[in-house]
Amino acid sequence: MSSEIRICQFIKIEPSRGSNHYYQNYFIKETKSFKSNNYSFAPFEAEGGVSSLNADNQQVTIRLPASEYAIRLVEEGDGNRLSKMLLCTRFITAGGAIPSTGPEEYYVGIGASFSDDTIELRFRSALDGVAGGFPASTLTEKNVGILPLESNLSLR
Amino acid sequence: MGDLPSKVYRAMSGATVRRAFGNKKTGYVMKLQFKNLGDDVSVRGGTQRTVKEILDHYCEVNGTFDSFNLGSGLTQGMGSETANYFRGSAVQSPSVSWRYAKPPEVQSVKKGLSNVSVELIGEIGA
Repeated sequence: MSSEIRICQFIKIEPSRGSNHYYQNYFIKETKSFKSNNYSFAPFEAEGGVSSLNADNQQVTIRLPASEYAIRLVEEGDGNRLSKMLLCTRFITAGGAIPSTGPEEYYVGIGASFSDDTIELRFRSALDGVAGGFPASTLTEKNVGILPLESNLSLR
Repeated sequence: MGDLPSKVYRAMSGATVRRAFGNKKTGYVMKLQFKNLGDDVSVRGGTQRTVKEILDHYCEVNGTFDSFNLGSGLTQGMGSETANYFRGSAVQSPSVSWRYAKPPEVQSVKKGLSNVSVELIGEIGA
């Protein structure tokens, strides 16, 4: 018994300045229309947690080759500390069709690191990991003060 | 021929799940062997390719670093439709970049004649 899966990840990165970047990592050298935007191919991999019940802001890493566009992503996002990312995961059909629904997570940039051949963009989940039962309201500066990018939130 | 980049997860039950990481085949390999090739032009009166030309080309493309196009002569012995797979012009075949997988291996047969083994790999550029 065997089954085959084809997973494509779409990332939309909103840097602090400049225009948004749209990349996908499955359709090699192709540009795919997804959610009304064109996603070009980039050989990246996403690694890390998505969310947890403990609201501990899981970390996700996007690893790219140290190419010109990856360096531009870091520079425009002020070292990836001021960028936002939407990561959409889709299970592609054998015929290459992209389903319209699937997991989607929002992240905020917390930094980047360089090595001789790769660039890692580090993100944390954007308050998605809040436990069930938490009032369905948004945390803003108005009700909790200045929000740090890294935090452990506990309610008493 | 290349293959789709994929990984296999095999459960203890024996059930397997294969995940494809891309929609195009990559990792093409072509092995070439030249027997009794003249070391330089003087050996066969300049009528044949020589070991020196292979080594010159290896140096021109910076060893295993740069890619190059396969000359049409390399696939002349094949039918044109089969050759298209190696040139990357078949419908099912991506446009691959060829490069040396490792330095050519030269084995001397006698003075002026050598056997040469060349291994090429075809990959998809990002």
